[in-house]
Order: sequence, then C-alpha cells, then structure tokens
Amino acid sequence: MVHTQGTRRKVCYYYDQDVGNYNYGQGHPMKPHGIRMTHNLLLSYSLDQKMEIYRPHKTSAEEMTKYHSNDYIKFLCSIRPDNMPKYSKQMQRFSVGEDCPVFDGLFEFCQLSTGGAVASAVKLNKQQTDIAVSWAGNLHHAKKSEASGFCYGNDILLVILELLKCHQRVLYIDIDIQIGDGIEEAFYTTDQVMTVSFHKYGEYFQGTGDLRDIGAGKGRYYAVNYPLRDGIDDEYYDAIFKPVMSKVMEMFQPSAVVLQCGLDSLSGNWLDCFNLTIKGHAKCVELVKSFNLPMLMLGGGGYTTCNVARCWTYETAVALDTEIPNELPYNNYFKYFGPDFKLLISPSNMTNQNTNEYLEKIKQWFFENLRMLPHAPGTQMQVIPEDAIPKESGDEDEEDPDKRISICPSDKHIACEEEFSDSDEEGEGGRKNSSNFKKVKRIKTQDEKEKEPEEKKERRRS
Amino acid sequence: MAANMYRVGDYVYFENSSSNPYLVRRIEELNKTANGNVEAKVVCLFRRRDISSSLNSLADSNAREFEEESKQPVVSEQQRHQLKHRELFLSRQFESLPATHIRGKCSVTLLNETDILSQYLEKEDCFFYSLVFDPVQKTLLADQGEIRVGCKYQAEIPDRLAEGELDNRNQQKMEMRVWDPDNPLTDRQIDQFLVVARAVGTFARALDCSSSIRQPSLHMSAAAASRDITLFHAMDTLQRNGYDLAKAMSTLVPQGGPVLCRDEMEEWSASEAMLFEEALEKYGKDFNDIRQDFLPWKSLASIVQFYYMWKTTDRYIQQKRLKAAEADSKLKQVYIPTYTKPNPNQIISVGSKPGMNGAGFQKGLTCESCHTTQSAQWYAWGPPNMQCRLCASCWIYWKKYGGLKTPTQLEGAARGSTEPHSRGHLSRPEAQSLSPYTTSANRAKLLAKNRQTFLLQTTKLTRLARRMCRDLLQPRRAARRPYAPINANAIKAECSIRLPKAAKTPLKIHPLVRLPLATIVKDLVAQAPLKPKTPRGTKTPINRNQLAQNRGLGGIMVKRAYEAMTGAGVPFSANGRPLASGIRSGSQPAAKRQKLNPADAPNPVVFVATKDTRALRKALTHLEMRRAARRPNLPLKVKPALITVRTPGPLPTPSHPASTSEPIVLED
Repeated sequence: MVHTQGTRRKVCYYYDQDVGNYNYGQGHPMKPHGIRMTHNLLLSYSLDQKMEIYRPHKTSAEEMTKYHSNDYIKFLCSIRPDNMPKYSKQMQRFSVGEDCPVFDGLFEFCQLSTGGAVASAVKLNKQQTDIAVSWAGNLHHAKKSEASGFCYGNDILLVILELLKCHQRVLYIDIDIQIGDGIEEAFYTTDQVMTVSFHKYGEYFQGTGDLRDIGAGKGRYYAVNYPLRDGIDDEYYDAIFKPVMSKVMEMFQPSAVVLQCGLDSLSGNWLDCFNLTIKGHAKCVELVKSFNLPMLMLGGGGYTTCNVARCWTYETAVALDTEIPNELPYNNYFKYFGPDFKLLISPSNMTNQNTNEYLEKIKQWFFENLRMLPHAPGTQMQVIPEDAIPKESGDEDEEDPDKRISICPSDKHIACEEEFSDSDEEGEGGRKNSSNFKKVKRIKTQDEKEKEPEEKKERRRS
Repeated sequence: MAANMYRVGDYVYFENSSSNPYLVRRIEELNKTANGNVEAKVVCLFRRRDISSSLNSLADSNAREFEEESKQPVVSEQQRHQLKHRELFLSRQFESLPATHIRGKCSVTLLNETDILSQYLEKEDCFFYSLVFDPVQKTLLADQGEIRVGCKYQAEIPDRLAEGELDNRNQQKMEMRVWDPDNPLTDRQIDQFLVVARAVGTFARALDCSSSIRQPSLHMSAAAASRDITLFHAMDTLQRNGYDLAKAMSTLVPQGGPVLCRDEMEEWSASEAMLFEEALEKYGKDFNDIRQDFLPWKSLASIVQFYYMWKTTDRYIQQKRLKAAEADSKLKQVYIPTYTKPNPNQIISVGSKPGMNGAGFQKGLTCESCHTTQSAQWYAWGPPNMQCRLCASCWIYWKKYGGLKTPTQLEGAARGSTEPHSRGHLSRPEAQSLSPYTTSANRAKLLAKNRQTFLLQTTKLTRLARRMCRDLLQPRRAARRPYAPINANAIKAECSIRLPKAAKTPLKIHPLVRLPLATIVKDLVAQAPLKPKTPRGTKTPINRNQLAQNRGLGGIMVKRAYEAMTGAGVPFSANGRPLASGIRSGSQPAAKRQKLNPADAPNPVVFVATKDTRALRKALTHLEMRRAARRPNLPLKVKPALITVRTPGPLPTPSHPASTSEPIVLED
C-alpha cells in the first residue's frame, strides 16, 4: 500500500458520534452505523491523530431550503413515526414511505449529515484545508421536493452550492453504483457544475443515467453518465476512470472537486452487481487527489457495514497519504470483520459483463462530447459591488496616498464608463479611453489600488 | 462446473412446457423448500411473442427510432426477423419456479446506443431489452426516468462572493474542533496518555460497585476500560486542555474520583440485555416497538447503539448460528445438472410407432424453419394436428429464441407490420402460438381483437392441389368449420402423386373474364359441388390447418381497383414475398385474385398518392368526389382527357371553384 500520488495535504474530517444511532427501521439496508464503525476503525489505526477532526453542528431548516422547497423541509421537520397517518397525503407527494421510511430522528439525521457537509465546504472555501472528509449522510438521490432512494435531504447539493460561492467551476464525481441523479438534476442546466457519474445502468430504480443524458441548455455536455454493466472489476474500472477524469479535468478545469465515494460498487455488497475491491475503489480517490484541487470526500451508499468501515478507513488513509497495515487492529466492532480480520477484500468470481469493446466505445463517445465543451468555460469574473455604505471620507487629497485604503473608497475611485470621452482635448498621459478602461473591470491588485488615488488627483488637476 | 452453477442475479432459461420456447427469467432468490427442493423466485422477461400485436408495433417503432438514433448499420430482412427474437421486455412481475426447470444461462443486457444490433445475433444466448412490459396494464414503457428541467427541479446557483468578500458566517456555530493534528505532543506522548486514561478507567471500575460485580477480574476491568469510548474521551480531554498533558491528566481524575466512561454495552444491566434479546426475538429489528414494549426507559439511540455492540458478543454469535440453519433456506447459488432427458416432442423414429409422436409424419417432409431435409433429430412443432417439424438446430433456436430462423408464411403473414391487412384474418397457428395458454374460446377473441391480417399468396402447386385433391380438402366442409385444421402437407403430397396422371386429363378451367362480384359469387357457388370426382386414394389423415387459410378468399369483396396504387411502388408484401408479382400474373382466374381492400383494412395500409392520383383528384368535381366516397365499390369515371396529365408542370385549374389549388389529401 503505497500512496505516493500528490503531496501531503491537510485533511479535515467531520463526524458526529450520534450519527450511528439512527436507524432506518427493520430490514432497511441503509445503516448509518457503518459511519460509526469507520470512525472507530480510524481510531484504532490512530489515523484520527493525523487530521483535524470536527464535530459539525446541525444545520438549520432554513439552510436546507437553499435548495429544497420550503414545503418539503417543513414536512421533513414535522414528520415522525407516530404522526404518520396525519401526513399520508404529503408523504405520497414527497415520496416518503417505502424506500425512504419515516424513522425516529429522521430530520436530525438530515441536519447532522448536512451540517458536516456544509461546514466542510465552508472550510474549503476559506482555504483552511485541502481535503475535507465527511462520510455521514450524503444523500445524492434526494430531489428538490422529493425524497428518493434512502435520501431525504440532499447534502451534497448544498455543499456544491456553498462551493460555488467561491469557485467558478465545481466538479462532482460519483462512484456510487447508483447514479447521482439528485445532483445531476439540480445542476442539469448550468455550466458551472459538471457532474460525472459512473454507475450501473438499467433496472435500477432511478432509471436515469443514460449515456444520452448530457445536460440541457447552458448545461449541455456538463453531465457525464457512464453506464456500466454488471461485474466490472478494478482493472476495467481504472481503465475508464483515469482517462475520463483526466479528460474532464483538462476540458472543464474545475477549481474544486466533490467526490462521492459510495460503496455499493464494492464486491460482495448487498446489491452485488459490481466487483470492485477496496483498492480499486480507493484508486479513484487517489487519482482525484492527484489533481491537487480542493477536494471534498463524501460518503454515500454502502450497505455491508464492515466493508463500509474498511473502505472508508482505507480511503481516509489515502487522503492522509498514510500506509496502514492490512491486519485490522482491535476495536469495539472487531468481530464484525471476521472471519479474516483483514482490511482489504478480494473480488468475487462473478463474470464481468463489460467488454473492453463496450467500455472503449462509450469512452470515445464521451471524448466526443467533452470536445464540445468550450475550453475552460464559465462565468466572467466580475466585481460584485459592495452593498454596505461606506463612511464618507473628507477630502481625498488629505489622505495619505501610501496608506492602504479599504476596498470601498477604492471602488468609488472607479468612475463610470460614460465619464470618459474619446476626445483628444483632454489628452494627457495616463488618460483612459474605452479600450484600456476595460482593464479596470479586473479585480485590482493591491498595487493598482494604491495607485488609483493619485491617478484621480491628476485627472482633477487637468 | 461453473456453467451449471446458477447464482442469484443470473439470467436463465426455464422450461415450463416441452413444446413451447423457454422462458427467460432472472433469478432473484433461491429458496430451499421444506421437502428439499429449490425454488427460484424470478423476474419475468417477456418475448415479443408474448405481447400483443399492438404492443409489438409499438416496440417496432421504438426499435426503428433506436436504429435511426444510433445509426445502426443496415441489416438484412433475415437478421431483422431474428433480432425480434433477441428482444425481450423486462417486467416487474415475479414468479416462483422450481430450479430444476432451469435449462441454461443466457445474457440479457439493456440496449445501449453503442451496441450494434447485429452483434447480438452473433452471440449465442444473448438478448437485449430496452422497454419494460407491464403485464397487468398491458403497457410498454421505456425503462427510463427522465431528468426534469425547470425551476422546480434545478438549484439556484448562488452568486459568487467577490474577491475579498468574506463569508461572514461564524464557523464556530457550524462546527466544533475535536482534534488538532498540529499539536505539540508527540505520537508517543499521546499513546502514553491513552494508556493512562485506560489505567484510570480500570481503577474507576474497581471503585465502582456495579462494575466490579460485572467485571470480577482485573483483566475484565482492563478490557472494559480499553473500549473505544475511553479512548475517545481521552483524546477529547487532550483537545479541551490545549494538549497540556498535566492539565489533561488532572481532568481525568477530578474531585470525587476517577472518570468512568462506559458505553451502552457496559451501561446496560444483564437483565436489560435479556429483555432486549427477548424483544429482538419478538419484533426483529423494529427498535421503536422494542423500546415501547420492552425498554421504555431507554432512548432509541441507546437501543440502536446497544444493538450494534450486542452483535459483537458471543450471545449474538450463538443466536446467529441458530439462525444460520434458517438462513440456510436462502441459497446464493444452486447446481443444476445439464438436462439430458429427451424432449417428448422429439420424433423418435419416423412413422414406426403409430400413435406416438412420429406417427403420421411422412418421409420427405422438410424443416418448417430452414427447409432442410436432413437432420439427426426431428421435433414435432406447432399444434400437434398441424404435423410440422423442425430440425435439431432449428428446434434449439425455437426453444431459446421463441421463433423460427426464417420468416415463415405463418409468421411473415401475421407478424410483419408492413404487410397489408385484409379483414381480420389471422392465420390459425399464429393465434395459437401467440399465447400457449389461450383456450380455444379465447382464441376467437384474439382473432377478433388482433385484426392481424395476412394475404394468402398461393403457389401454382397449391392452386393445383385445391383442384386435384378436392376430395381430401373438402372445401365446403372446411369453410363451414373454419377452426378445424387442414393438413396442407398431406394434401400437397397427395397432389404430387396424382399430378402426373391428372396432367393427361386437363382440368376444365373456365377462363373467366372479370365479372361483377355477384356473378363471381354465383359462379363459385355453382362450381363448388361439381367436382368431387377426383379418385379417393390413400387415406392420409386430413389436416386442414394450413389450407384453411384459403377459405373464403375467393369471396373477398372487390370494392375498388387497387392495382394503380400497388403499381406506384408501395412495398407491400404478402406472405413474405412481394405482392406485386402475384398480382401481375394474369393467368389466375379472376375470382382468386387477391384484392386489397383499402376501406376495410386496418391502419397499416397506406394510400400513397402519386402525382397522377393527385392530378386525378383535382380533375374530380366536388360533387363527384363526394359521390365516389359514398359508393366506394363503384369504379371512378374520370374524364380521359385529364388522366393523361402526367407532366410535373402546372396542374390544370380545378373545375370546381370552391376547391383550392392545394392538393386534397385523402386519409385512407
């Protein structure tokens, strides 16, 4: 186990010990307990001493309505197992019930998972960390006003929205076996977020994730869906993940990456469709990490708790550039890892229905589509005017030109475009005309800011 | 023998009837029943032959769309025919079948744009699907959700913060730091502190009454003090004391005795644990109910936490072992040996044992599908009274893919949607093969419902046979019993025996001029009873099934001359052969000539207006047009001068002032 990719980077990890106490109810495959087992395993590997650990606070309902509709959040807030009959109509409307059962503490669970995710995004935005990890929740199926596929509140979405405050382009990668349809739908029409999802195609409940779903409007070509067939193994997965991601990075040039590390693509999972081992899965993390961008690692599906703990522990170690032994150290849940008590798992002998030919063809298809992207697209950089009203200073001339002034007065120095004429009468060195004026739109460096008062003064004199 | 190992998730063939094609199913569960048999819970996949014709045409249009969109290379007619056998329809329907009926594996994949359809034909046992069939609603749907677009679904992208603008939210309110890796302590110091914390915990247990009862030995106390909760607490203590070891140490031993951290595992008394086990037995993992009825003083979180810890105890492992016996009934895979028993449809030795399958089959008959006469094995195919047979390879094809390799008369007639329709005639074997379970009562309904039509294109031999073997055929009798089968092969065979003799005494065939309908009908009535003279020779059992198709064709109403349209190059085909050639053979008696009936035919008949016909229409006055519409059986009289207008030049101005210069489009 050698992770030499990239340099050692600062890692922040978000976890709340309560998260393992929520239970979706009898027979439900989703077990938040896996997140707790991961944390305990991290402790016994002493990985917890190597990263900054945060306990997130619960997100407010208000925060969640940044994406979700008010009605839906209000409903999630108030629904409990004991008042379900009262809400039967709404439950239907919001698709809460079968796959997404009402359980005790449902909303708190959403609040916790969202809290961790959003806090980690803010941390990335403030450049206080290089990698943020939050295994809890990460409910990539939830829709604006609809629960879906064990997911109620879409925390990943809120994370991306948060990141967009500071990043022009955000890349979302989904290596869960299911498509991240909640995310894809939410950002289907924007070119600021590219969603790349590798998933099993067909038969699955979402039914979306077709090769042809490539985005709409401005977001055309900004959704990438890689449909895979049963039984894909490490080798094949790596053979597609690497080239596709490299191409995406090259064409889209994101400034932040959100990686959803759903684990139902692992071999021996409850759904039992893909045949990836932990190493193969973590290789994706390694690759994304090697791009050296601010990265957010999130959890996702994964229904065999012991493998969830194994894999996410391993992937945390990858993020930390730390090697950990294959022999599992003793911890509270040690017995779960029997009979071999090893960290890594071996693939099953299931048949791989993906042929090289099939994967190659789809890959080519993507490359064609990615070529349609305008190189490094996105919004223009522009200065958003301050809304705060600055205190009026007296005479500008009295100010010390060498003293750094705050951004507000400096903005005031930028005169309106119309104030400048092209006439030569006033022609004097340093005058701005419409062609070189454009530069002012650029965000000023500190140097320029300092120069400006002087320029202004000159103009006044002339 | 991996090939005979069937796992959950495999697509397999099931045999539920010896003569019908296999069922294609996906194994969802394998359960052992009380008597030791293995039952497979499977998802049903349907073949094209299992769904109604209207849904078939829907599937056709879907396939066409797919072909266009994915730019498929052109496939031959034969390939197109065989591809229909490779298409399946997924359903959400489950059923239980005995695992011993499994007859092999196959592969079913969701069709993908990058697939080349013809490649499915190259691979044995490969199917594809793109649509989902609902057997209850009788609908076909694309197995696809859709990504919805609209402000109801998309997120609003927030404005980016200006450079320098700060997110003024208080991070303290969003998170709480629990550990800082950049602390001044070395790894060794931290480890030392963790040991101290455990030591304090062990001592605390020694002091604590309830703990000392539960953990009577020092070892047990030490083990309990080494549980994760103590370690988490120790790390927390370090962080809270600013990584000052001395300060942290003193917080571990506050006034009033050492700190004792116990998780749910330790917190619960033995009796509570017993209650929990009892409750778990009763309610399963319904922790809400467990709490309500057994442990109301515990919080739900603490019950959940306890449950997961309890799973690591020996008690659980014991229980698991007990339950393992039950779980045994759920199998992951099952070994089914290759099925070797001969199929009862196999024709054992031709003609030797009367009453057996082989009886009645004559030498020299060909495979219904590939027309070979040589095969190591023969299989009776189709309804028993039809006496059709398949060669070994076609039989396997039939079992696996539910069709014949080549479009046959039967299939070509009833399946292809490009065929013209006549009046709801459905060839009978077709009706039977539509659903193997249809009772004869249902069949009539099916006939009426499907309105799948065919056009019988008779060969010379057939026409001859009708006359030569009138005694065998008994056309009038057959006409009265339209559901009784006719053995066409037998008649043809008989005919070929009689033919050499008959050639010397030419049959009297009145060369009929095309007469009005009434005369033709009269003529037919008059002719029929006149010729029952042909010698009664061999006593071949009469199987009317195939010739019955002929019944009544002579009586098809001829309402309007149709040649003009077919002459315009419309690719109509009948029985898989181009129709045009048959129509042009003028030697046929007029009464037997096929006429299509545009007014009566269901949708697939398309009237393609040519320039000429459009010009003709223009030539008609409004009144004439309406009259013609009221009397569809009368030929149209068009002024000869106007018919000759064939040039693409300006059309003659309509004689009726009300008609526009736009061509009138008739929707037939």
